[in-house]
Formats: sequence, C-alpha cells, structure tokens
Amino acid sequence: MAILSTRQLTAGYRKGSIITPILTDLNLNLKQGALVALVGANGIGKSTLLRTIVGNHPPLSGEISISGNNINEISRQKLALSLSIVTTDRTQAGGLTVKELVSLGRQPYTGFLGILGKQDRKIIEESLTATGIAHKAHNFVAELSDGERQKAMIAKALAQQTPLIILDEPTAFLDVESRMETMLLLHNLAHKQNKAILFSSHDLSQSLLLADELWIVTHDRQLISGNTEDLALSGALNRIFASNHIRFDQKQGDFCINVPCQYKVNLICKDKILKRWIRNALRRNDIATDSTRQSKITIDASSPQSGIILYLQQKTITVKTIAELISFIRRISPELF
Amino acid sequence: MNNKKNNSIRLIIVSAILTALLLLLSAGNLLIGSVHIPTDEIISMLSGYQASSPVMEIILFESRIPTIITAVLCGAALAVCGLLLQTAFNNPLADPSILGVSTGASLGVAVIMLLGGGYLGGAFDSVLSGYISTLAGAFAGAMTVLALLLLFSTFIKSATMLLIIGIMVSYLASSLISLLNFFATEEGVHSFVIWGMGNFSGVTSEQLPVFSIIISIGLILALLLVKPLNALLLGTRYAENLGVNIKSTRNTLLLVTGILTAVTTAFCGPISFLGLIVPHIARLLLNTSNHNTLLPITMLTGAVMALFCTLISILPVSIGIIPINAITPIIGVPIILYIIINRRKLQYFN
Repeated sequence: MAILSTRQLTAGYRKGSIITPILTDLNLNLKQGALVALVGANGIGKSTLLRTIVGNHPPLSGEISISGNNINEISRQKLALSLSIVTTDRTQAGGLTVKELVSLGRQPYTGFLGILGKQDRKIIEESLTATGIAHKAHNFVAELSDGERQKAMIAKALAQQTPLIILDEPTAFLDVESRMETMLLLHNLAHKQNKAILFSSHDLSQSLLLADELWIVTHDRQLISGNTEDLALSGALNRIFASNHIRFDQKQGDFCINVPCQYKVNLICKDKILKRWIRNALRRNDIATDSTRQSKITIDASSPQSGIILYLQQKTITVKTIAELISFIRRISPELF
Repeated sequence: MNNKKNNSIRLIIVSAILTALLLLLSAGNLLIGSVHIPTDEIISMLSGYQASSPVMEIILFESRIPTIITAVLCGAALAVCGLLLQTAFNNPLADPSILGVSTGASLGVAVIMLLGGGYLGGAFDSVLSGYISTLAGAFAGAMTVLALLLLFSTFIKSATMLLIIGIMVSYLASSLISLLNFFATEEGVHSFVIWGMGNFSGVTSEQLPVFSIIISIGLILALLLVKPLNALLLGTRYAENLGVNIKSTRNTLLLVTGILTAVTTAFCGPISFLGLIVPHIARLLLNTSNHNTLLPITMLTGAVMALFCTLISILPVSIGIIPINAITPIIGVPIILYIIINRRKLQYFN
C-alpha cells in the first residue's frame, strides 16, 4: 500500500483571485522501503510541491493522503506520527545538544510537559546510532559541521518514528563526502528500516546512484515518475532543462555540455579512460573528436608510454602530457584543422 | 559524556548560587533603608514579636517586604516575557520594551493617569479605583500592541521586520504619550514622570495579593509553554511537524506576555532592559537553550537582578531612592555589548 498518494493534486499559489498553478494534476504514489528523489531545475517548484505534500501549504485542488488518511482531515498530532520532515530552514537550535535536538522528535509521543519515558530514551539512542551521530550526542548543535547537522536532523526525523520522511534539499550545503554519506544513510534507512523517503535534490548523479525512483519535474512543469533506470533509459532526463546546450549522457549518467564544436581532429586511442579525458580536454577547447568526420589533424595516443603523437601536415610532434598537447594545439592556426 | 555530566552539575551550581543570592539580596533589602532598623529588631518582628515602635512595623511590613516580593515577581515576569518573545520572534533582541508592548502599556497608563487624573481626579476617590483603572489601561495598551504585532505577523514573515514594526509602534505610542503630557495638568505630568522612572515600591500591601496572584498565574502559564517553546527553536515548520499548534501557542504566548507586561508596567512603571538581558544571562550561566531548565532559571535570574537593582536604588539612603530605570541600563548595556561582541562564540546564536 502506498504511504503517500496524491489524486489530481495541483500545487501552486493563490493570491487573492490570482491563481498560479505550479504543478498540475499529479497522481503520485510512494511505497514503503523506497528512496525517491524529486529532481528538477532550481525554481521549478520542487519545494512548493514538498511544502504542499507535508501540509505547510494548501493545495490549489486535489487530494493528498498519508497512510490512507486525507491530510486535511487528520489532526496535526496524528500527522506528526505519520510524517517527519527535514528542511533547509535556519534554526535556533545551536544551544541544544544533539541529543536534546533528537529528543524533540519524541514530542508527538510525550505528554503536556514533554517528559521522556524509558521507551523514548531508547528510541533516541537508536536514532543517534542509526545515523552515525551517537559520538556527538552531547555536543552542541552549533559545534557540528553541516554534514553532522544534517545527520542530527535526520536522527530527529527517525526518533519521530514515522513511516514517511520528507527532506527538502538534504545535501544542498554539504561537501562531496557528507553528501555521499547522507545519501547512503537515506538509502539504508529506506531499505533496512522500510521507510518511505522522499527528498528533493538538484544533484542528479547522486540521485541516480541511490534513489529507487525518480520524480522528474521537467522544464515545462510536467512530472514524470518511475524507476530510476527506466527513466534514465527513456530520455526523460533530457526534459529537465529547456536548454539544448545541456544533454543527459546515458553512458556517463550525468549531464554534459551539448554545444557543437568548431574544430575537429581524429583521435586514436584504445585506452577508454585516457580517451575520455583527452576528449574532455579537447572539447573544452572547442575541438570535437567525431570519428566520422575526417580531419587534417590526427592525435595518436594508442601507446601512451611513448607519448601522445600529433600528426599535422607531414609533421609529427610527440608530447608527454595532455597539458602539452593542449598548449600545442592552441597554437595551430584555425585553417589547418 | 563529559558535557552531559557538566551540564547537570552546572544546573545545580547555578541554581544554588542564584538561590543564595536571592536570599542575600532579600536580606539586604530588608536591612537597608532610609530608616535604620537594627537586625535583631527585624528578626524579632519577622518571628512574630511586637516591635519596639509601630513605625518600624509599618516600614517593614508595609514597605520593605512588599517591595521585595514585588521586585522578585516583576523581575521573574519581565525576564520570562523577554525569553518568550526572543524564542517566538526568533530574535535575540526581542523584549517587551523593544517590541513596544511596554510602551503600549505606558500609553494605557498615560491615558488613565493624565486624562483621568486631569479631569476626573477630583471626582472620585482614586485610591482603589486608581490602581484597577491603571491596570486596565496598561492591559488594554499592551494587548493592543500585541494584537497589532499579531496582525502584522500574519503577512510579514520576517522576525526582524516584525521587530522593526514593534519599534515603530513604540514610537507612535510615545508620540501619543507626549501629546497627552502636553495637554495634562502639572501634577498629572509629575506623577506620570515619577511612575515612568520605575520603582518596585509602588505596590501597597493591600494591592499585593492581587498583584501576586496575577503574576503567578502568568508565570505558571509560561512554564506550561516549555514543550512548544523547545519545538519552536527549530522554526515554525519543524514545530508544526512535531504536532505543535502554532497559532494557539503563539496566542497563549502573547497573552501571557501581555498580562505580565501590563501588570508589571501598571504597578512599577516601564522597567527597561531586564526582559532583554536576563534571558541572555541565564543562557550564558546554563550554557543551553533548552527551555526545560532555561525558563525556570531565567525566572530566578530575573528575580535576583530585580532585587539587585532595588538594593542599589536604596543604597544612597540619605538622598532617597534612585529610579530603577536609571540603574538597569548601567547593568544592561555592558551585557548586551558583551553578547554582541562575542556572538560568534556563543553557541545559542549559531
């Protein structure tokens, strides 16, 4: 059964009589044990959609149900037991310890005065351990790095013990290592603790690695959902950006620049990795290596131990590094290509 | 692990020191005054024995003890108001006087004192009706400002902008107060100016029970807000997701602040700085933003600070009593400067 589902949902803004729909007619389903990435360009409406789903923002029309209950019909208290959130909001939590912060996740379960019971304490400890932040439990939130802070907030969401966790840009301010760790953590929580986790991201390559499903918001505000790999193969990812200059490279699993080069050379290279990086350098210098187009210049890197050889008008030049190759090529006058 | 142990030891030490200070300062306020009363005389009077002169008895029971109780309750009340507003508005500089709540209460008092005093003063005996109507005026003024802030907060999301609106409202109220002063009688202006300087000895022993009950109710209501206040540290979206009813929490919070500010202002004048600095002192002492401990310690610190200011105000016994509002900035400004300069090092700002 779907933990989260929407029926004919339209998210957007209403200001007086002016209605601005952002994403229309959404029929989405989110199952337990799945990590779902909501991807799309900046400002396309990802955050609006998430805010609408969690009930922070009223939908223009349609229905949202969480655990089978329409979110407009259940109390805030009950919703707090079904859904936990991690946002990018600035907090005043610097003067709390990590453990105190995570304890806040127990608020829906505690009484009027918020006193923690034995069971609450156990769950707090488990949440700290599961997110790998237990060693910082007694540190102040202010002392944490951005990555650790994110883990602490995820631990808070875990302590809330909800079947559904929704995160808005959880990796936005993190360095590569913390980003990877956060993504792995979310992946493990979905798979091992059977949570349904939805997060928004504009970092596509990471989402492709670890998300079970993608919700793609295209540049013309269509929402395409489905299995990550099926969508990668379908070409749906090319619809994220309106620009023709960016193209999803299915082989690389990431976006690449799609601008036709002015010049071309022939490249002979068996080593795939070396070939990839030579092409990268040449492309940056406006030189294509399309094998179908014959060029007057040929680069032979088939035996890199003896150097990269450049054939140009009966001349042969041997260079050792790509840097030397590029600095030489840049000096060739355009009509010789 | 160390941090945890340190924090609970810290809580015990801080509470012990503050309680000791509270008792010491109370004793100081009992002993010192323009009329000298020997220590053994005070002890014997407190133990229920007849005093050697009825004047001493009147001074002790009608003046010194009510002043101490008033200072303790006012200090706690103003400090708690500051803390509630700082958390709710997500701004470390929020307090009843900056947000204009005190000024609103003052305007209410001014209307009663200056208009009423000017035109109705002679019409009826104002001993009893005086304080009830002053209280009502202060409450109406404070709640009007809070209602305005609440109204603005529905479409102005930025806490800083809201704070600036509070300051603007405060200016407006001040201008009305000036206008009232301009048209008021000389005695009216005089008594209003004296009231505006702030003092904790304005509550008579007859008024004390009403005063104490209202303030105590406000303080208890504040204690009940601890759980949602902690959630609010994460911001309204997180708090809402944790099941907190933002609207009712905010309304309760503003009502509590309104009542406490109105009552203290009506009786003691608009006391500046206590609401602003005491929550910061409490945070620095405890090294936490957790309201479970911060809120009670803020009350205690507020009581201690108010007693301290009272003691200083009565120290120059030969001249008379120095206005409280002449003392609070001298203590408050250095503390605010310290906090501003060190804000990067203070974790509760980060």
